[in-house]
Amino acid sequence: MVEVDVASKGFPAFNIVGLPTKAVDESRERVRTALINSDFDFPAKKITVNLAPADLPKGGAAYDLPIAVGILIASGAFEWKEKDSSAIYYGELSLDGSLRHTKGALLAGEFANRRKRTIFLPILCANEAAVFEAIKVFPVRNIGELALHLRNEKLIKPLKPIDVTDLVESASYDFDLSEIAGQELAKRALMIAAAGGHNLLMSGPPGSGKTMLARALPSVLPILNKEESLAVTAIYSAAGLVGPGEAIIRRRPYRSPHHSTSLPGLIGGGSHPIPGEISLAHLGVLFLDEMAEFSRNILEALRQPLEDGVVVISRAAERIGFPAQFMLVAAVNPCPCGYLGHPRKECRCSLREVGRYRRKISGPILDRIDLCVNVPAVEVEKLVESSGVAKRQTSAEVRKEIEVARLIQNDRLKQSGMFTNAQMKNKQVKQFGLMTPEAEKLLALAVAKYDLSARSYFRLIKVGRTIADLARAEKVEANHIAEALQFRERVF
Amino acid sequence: MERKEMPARFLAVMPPIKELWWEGNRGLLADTNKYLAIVGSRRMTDYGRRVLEMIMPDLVRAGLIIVSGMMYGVDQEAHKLCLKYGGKTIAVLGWGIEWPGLTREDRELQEKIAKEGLVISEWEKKKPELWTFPARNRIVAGLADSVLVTEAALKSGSMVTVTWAQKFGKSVLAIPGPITSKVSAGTNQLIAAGRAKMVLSAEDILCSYGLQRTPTQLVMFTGAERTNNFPHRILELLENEPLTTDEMVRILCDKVEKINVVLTEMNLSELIEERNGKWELGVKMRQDACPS
Repeated sequence: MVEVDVASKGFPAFNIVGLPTKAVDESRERVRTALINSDFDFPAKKITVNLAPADLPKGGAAYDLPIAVGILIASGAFEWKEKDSSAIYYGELSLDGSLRHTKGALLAGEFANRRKRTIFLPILCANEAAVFEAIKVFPVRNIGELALHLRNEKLIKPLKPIDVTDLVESASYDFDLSEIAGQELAKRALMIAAAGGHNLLMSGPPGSGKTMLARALPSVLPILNKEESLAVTAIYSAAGLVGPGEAIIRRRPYRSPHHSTSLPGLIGGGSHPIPGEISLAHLGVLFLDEMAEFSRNILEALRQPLEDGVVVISRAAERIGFPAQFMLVAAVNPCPCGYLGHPRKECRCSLREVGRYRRKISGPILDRIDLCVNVPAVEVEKLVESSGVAKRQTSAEVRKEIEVARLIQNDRLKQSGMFTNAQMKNKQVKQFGLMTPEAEKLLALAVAKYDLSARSYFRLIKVGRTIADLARAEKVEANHIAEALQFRERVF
Repeated sequence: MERKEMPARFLAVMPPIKELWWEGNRGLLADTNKYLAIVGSRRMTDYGRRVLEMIMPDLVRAGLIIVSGMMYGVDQEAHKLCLKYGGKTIAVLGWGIEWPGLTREDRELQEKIAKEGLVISEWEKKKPELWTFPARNRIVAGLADSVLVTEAALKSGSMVTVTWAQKFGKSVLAIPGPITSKVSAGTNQLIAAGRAKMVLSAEDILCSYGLQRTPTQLVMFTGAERTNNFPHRILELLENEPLTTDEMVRILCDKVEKINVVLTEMNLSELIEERNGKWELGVKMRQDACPS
């Protein structure tokens, strides 16, 4: 809450109290200049602005608008009506009095929605709050316009509510599965991973299409529903990443941080924590290209969010939890130079270098990855030979199958509070991963032959369960386990 | 081991071997044995490995003792495969027999060879140095009846071994390789210059020892017959060259999920195996003819 007092006694001054950070403190200059440039009188009196509650540090530039409105009212520029005093004002001022795009508009809208208040927002980000149908959202161009509105001289029209469902369904993806030639095995892996929410590791030489495959993944994931879409938008809004004029994030996020990304950049941080890449990938895909190049401590930091779906950032001043439920898709080269096993190019690495490179990836993060797949180099002329043999599936077709499989999983896992097979713990695997006798026999044989650990054993059943769901089978059959074995973890 | 205890063939080695340290089965040094040295590049390619896998079972069955230098790459692969097929192998070290600086993998292999075969070295605790490897190579060449080069670059330790072998009057065999590969340049040149006999199969090698390939029994594909004949077709395809799953999907024109299932079953019954993302014939199929 912002209180403004313009005292008739005392030296002219302009003070903000209530633990303002630098950006808030500087608001004095912006507000003073903006008011003067908008032809208002700036009262030469002692002005005190109080930001309540007094003991919570406040940051950001969104306080400009309420402070300016407070000063106008306290100096008697216009009458203060009851309905306006309960409204929320939010936005950053520029020196000419116009309002700038401000971070967190969706969160402000959500707050207004909870309190059933009217809200005034900068016109550039007002759409973010227009998704809440129950409240009135006024888009404000500049402070002068707002004053006319508050004086009842020229009213601003509230925004029409935006229907999230319509927006989400009209979302288009910039990349379709059918654009990828060949790579049937990898596409199948992608489909299983998407259906069960499994994390995926792709290994293959540079240029074989690992990035393309990862980029196609959001397009086969089920469409965001309204709640999910708002959850994603809330994070983006807090990080100031919702584009001017946009309402909500309509597509599943796809984030591909470079391997030089710092730890706070990846998991979130700062003295006033802001969400990192993994939270920006919430309900979407986090793609780590060249995973072996990421430093060890960064990969380690991913373990807990991968397990819990949230990341908690603890700082001396505060603790903030950001949601981070993402699918991890990692890509690695088979060796440092990348050409091991390439049909044309010769690998320049010694066996020892290859060994060292591979050891870097193994370890804790591999434990969280259910599916591994080889993405070999594509020999173009071989593709041409066989073009037209099999029809390529489009993302929309694949997505339909995946949505069915997800529904089956939702039904089964409802009571455990889970949504996908990937989330199952050993207990649920035992409970729901029912196998036919043949499947059990096959799995036992495989455990002996491939020397599988207990953990890979459970992972195989999870993947088998997803394959069974895709086939709409009641039990996990031998066929499903046999296919799951093709995606088991190898040296890689 | 002093000079007077050494087998006769070591006495011919020049410069002379002053003393010899050994660990393992000393009986492998009996003069009546037949030795084949397998040498090659540290940078073994897939091709080199497949060559070794193809010829090794027959060599072992014919009773040849495989001699090599314990260096990673071709040397170690030769030792490992020989032991895998139950053969006898001798590792000639380029370092002291008790040198403590080995990596874990190397130490494990050296211990395994000492247990199931024989490890010898000219030194007790010597650290490997640039000159110790060529010195080791002269022992390898001296011990062997023939030296087989699988893959070698033009200037390499393997070529040094070949030079020693020719000096000692041993026969040199070489496996031809792709002319695009650096590590086949040496072997191809040996063949082109007539310094080595070209070897195209295990039989060629056994021939030079006056031995014959022992035929093995045909193992039929006994897995449950499916409605389709994928297993047979896959075996036929893999006889020509290794293939990725994707390539099989394209050739067989069917769904990847079906082919995945067949591949797992064939893999479990050791008919095929996967290496570096490609499928090739498995242990069972390599030794025997393809099922009719």
